[in-house]
Amino acid sequence: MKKTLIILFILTLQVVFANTSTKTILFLGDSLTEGLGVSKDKAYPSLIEKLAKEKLNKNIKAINGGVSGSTTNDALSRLKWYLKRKPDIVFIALGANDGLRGLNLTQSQQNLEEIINYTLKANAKVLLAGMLIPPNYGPAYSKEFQDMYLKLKKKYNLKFMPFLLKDVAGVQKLNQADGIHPNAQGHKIIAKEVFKFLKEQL
Amino acid sequence: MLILELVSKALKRSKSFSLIFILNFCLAIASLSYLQFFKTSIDSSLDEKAKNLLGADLVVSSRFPISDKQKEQIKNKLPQIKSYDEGISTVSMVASKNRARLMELVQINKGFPYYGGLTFNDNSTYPKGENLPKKNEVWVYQEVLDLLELKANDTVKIGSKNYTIAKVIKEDSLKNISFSGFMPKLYLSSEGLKRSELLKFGSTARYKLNYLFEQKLSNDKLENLEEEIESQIDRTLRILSPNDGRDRLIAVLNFLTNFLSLVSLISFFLGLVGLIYLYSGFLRKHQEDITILSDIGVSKNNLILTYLLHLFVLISIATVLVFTLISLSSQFIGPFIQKYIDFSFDFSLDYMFFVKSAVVLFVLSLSIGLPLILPLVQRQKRKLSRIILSFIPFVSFLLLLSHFVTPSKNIGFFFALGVLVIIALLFAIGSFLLKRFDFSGHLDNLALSLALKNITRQKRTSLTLFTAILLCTAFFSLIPQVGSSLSNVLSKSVEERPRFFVVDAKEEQLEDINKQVEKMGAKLENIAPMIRARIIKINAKEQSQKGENARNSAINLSYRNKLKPSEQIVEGREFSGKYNSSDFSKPIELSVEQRYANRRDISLGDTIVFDVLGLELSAKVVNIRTVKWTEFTPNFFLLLQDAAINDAPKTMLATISTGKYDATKMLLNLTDKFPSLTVIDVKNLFESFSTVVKDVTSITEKMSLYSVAIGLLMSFIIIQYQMNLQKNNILRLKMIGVKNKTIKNSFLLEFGLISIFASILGIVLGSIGSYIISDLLFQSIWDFRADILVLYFLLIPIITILVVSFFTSRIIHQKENVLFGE
Repeated sequence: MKKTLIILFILTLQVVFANTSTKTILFLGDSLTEGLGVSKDKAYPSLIEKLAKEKLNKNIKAINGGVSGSTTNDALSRLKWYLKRKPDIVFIALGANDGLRGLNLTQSQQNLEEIINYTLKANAKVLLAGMLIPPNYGPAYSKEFQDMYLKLKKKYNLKFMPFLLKDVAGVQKLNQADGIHPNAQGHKIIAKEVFKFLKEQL
Repeated sequence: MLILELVSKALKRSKSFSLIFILNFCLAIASLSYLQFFKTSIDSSLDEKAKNLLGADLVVSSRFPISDKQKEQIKNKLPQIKSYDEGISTVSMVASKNRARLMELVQINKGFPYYGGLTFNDNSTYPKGENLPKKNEVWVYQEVLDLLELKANDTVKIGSKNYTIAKVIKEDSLKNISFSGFMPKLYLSSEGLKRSELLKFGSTARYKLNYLFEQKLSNDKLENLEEEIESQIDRTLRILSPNDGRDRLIAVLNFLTNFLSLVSLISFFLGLVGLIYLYSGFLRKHQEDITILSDIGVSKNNLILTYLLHLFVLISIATVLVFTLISLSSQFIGPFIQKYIDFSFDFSLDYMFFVKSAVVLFVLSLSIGLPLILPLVQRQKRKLSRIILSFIPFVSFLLLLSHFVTPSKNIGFFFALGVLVIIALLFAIGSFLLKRFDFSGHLDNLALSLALKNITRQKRTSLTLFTAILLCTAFFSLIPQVGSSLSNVLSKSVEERPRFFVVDAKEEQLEDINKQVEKMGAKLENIAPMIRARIIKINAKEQSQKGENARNSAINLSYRNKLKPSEQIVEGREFSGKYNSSDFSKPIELSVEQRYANRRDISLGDTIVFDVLGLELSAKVVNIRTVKWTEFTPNFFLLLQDAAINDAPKTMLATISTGKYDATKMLLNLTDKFPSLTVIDVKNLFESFSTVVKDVTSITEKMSLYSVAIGLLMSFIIIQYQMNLQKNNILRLKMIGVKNKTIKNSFLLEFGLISIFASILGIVLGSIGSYIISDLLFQSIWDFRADILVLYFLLIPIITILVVSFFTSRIIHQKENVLFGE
């Protein structure tokens, strides 16, 4: 009886703990994160919030810090703004627009490093999502782009998700008519993959 | 038969009247008819140019490869196809030994484009002339050479393969005048594109199906086809018809046609004043004939028909003359206008134009003839209300015509309405004043005494002459001032438009960028912060965040304390100053662009709640403002008061002025020193615009002169005709022994006084009109031209005095029996 009571007490504590220690995750990204063309509650950050509740019974607070057209250049000022809400985790999903605009990737890497350093200084955990550039940009640029993330991963020893749009990019039925932005179905798949990647941290 | 006989007699008996009438009417309709004809030609030339921009009758475009099933589906909905082409374009990093740049690669196939084509630096052309580039060759824009520091016949690397630059493109009819088209292009053959191995799973490209139809369809029909197919097919497919490109050209040329329409309407109105003047004078002169004919049993209906037919014949003769002139000159006008506008005009004759014009002129003769003829035939004094009523069809006709001859909505209508209201007011106020100050006494100066008596006694004649001269001077001062304002603002916009747009700058980078730009001899201007936000609520009404609505609710905000000179508040007030509530308890003041406000149903005083990156802020609309279309600088639909969200995350936009610096060096320098900066060269975007603008400016100046020349001739005719009517008066004065000098002076004074007062009022009204038209309709800054006003203020009275002096001298020196004979 005593044992049962202790177990029940521990379980209750766990439930209470699970419901009170709400983690805040900032998804710092671009239109892919913002959910351009789908409603905000169907973009992957919101879906992850729901998945955490469903699968882990955990309340998390997802801040959608995605802005369409955003490059690595303008993300730092946004990060500073969102850090006021003291996120526990910052999920960085940036760089796609730098690549699509053919920007100089040395500068993009520097920008991402600034963002990582700033986040670490704010005592938040950094998770990095990589991107791939479409093959038409040419093998040299594509490789340089891919390497940029790998260098960052290595330098900061980051937990790294190699490709945010895994299984979504290039698949017509999962994307909107522009062929670049995922539709609601596409966001579900991204959410599932990101959740898989994130769940250990929750 | 009797009617025909009477008409023929009327024509034969009053040859000089017929000649003046026909000349007057020819002048009135010449510019209007030419303009309508010119517009038809512009339309067809624009249609052709729009097809050149698209390269085909219809284009189906998709971001994904178009499946055979989709192709079959589309084919079934199309008319008979003459030629068909499948094109692909993509973007890629193109590299030389030293540099790499993102550029657009376009696959070009044999025979395409069906309309337009390419012209190379060596003046060879494609598709007429040159063969496709070889597998290892590319054709490039000059910018490709500049940006990669290359020259013709050098090698570029695309993907992992090298290509030789075989040709440099000088002109490209498919050059896209939009922001998506700022990237320099390289053309390669389908084998060449395959060789690059760039297109594989995951690649982004635009796939196009280009169609040329057997039957030549108008652009409007193609647009209907576009809409019809688009509603029935896969949403990933986008249909394009030539009108999609035409709209951009129309926007520019609309200003020209609007201005020319107003000028031709003015000439037409002046002509109508002359027509009414001449024909009522003619009818009055023949009132005795009408009475006799009526007394000998000719029915009223026959009399009405006779004079209507007479008017119609006169109008028809004038019309036939003008139309013949148009037909004969149309072949020479094309090259003549082409000299001014770099635009190939198709001046082929459109017979429907003549049919439509004939119908219009028939309605005109009927609507104007009846109110003039009826009172004389019915021989009874009609009530004022009935007279006004009888002019309603004519007034409606004028308003409708004015509406249809100007391309922009309501411009012609309101212009005509304004003119009619002014005429009505002039007659009402003039009659009242002349009645009030009826001059019945004597002055020591007999000439002045006679002049004043004439003015007050012959109210109708005085007011008609006054109105005619007033309209002439009003239009004379209006046209050049509007033209000058329009050309000033157009050419200013060409000179002051930026060369580069700088996007994505960090606030802390601005100083360094500015230094760099200044070092190269340009200016960093129009710096504007841009903050992303979403509209959550408008007046407590939640805004849907789903699907397309989500796109609409995402907006860019900016902040400033003052409005730019090119902006104007149409409702509300300026910002009260800097925002000063630290906890956002006070709503932030908000300025909304007028068209955006209309689209989103936002009014003055509304409260809008924004989500600025997670922070909800409430703002109150304190003004609705217009933004001038000619500005070509960054501007925002929604502007917030300064100091409210200044520390929100933002990016900075700016422009770099045009100047004598090396643009390629500027671009390379900036992107080398600030690699994360996006610098867009907008030269291509404005190039075609600036050419058309310069030509438009030249045309407006010439058209102004033409209209003034017509107006002068018209006033000459009116004064001369008025003088002819004064013959009896002169005779009477001679009979009672008034000296010739006194008679002459009395007429000079009468016409001089009317002319001076009409000129003063005309110039004031014309200037007010030009201000309203420049400011409201053309959205341009009013250019006050004192030199023009002084010229026309003196010109009309001087001409009046010269004409009056000439005719009175001629008449008073004629013998009494000659005058009696008349």
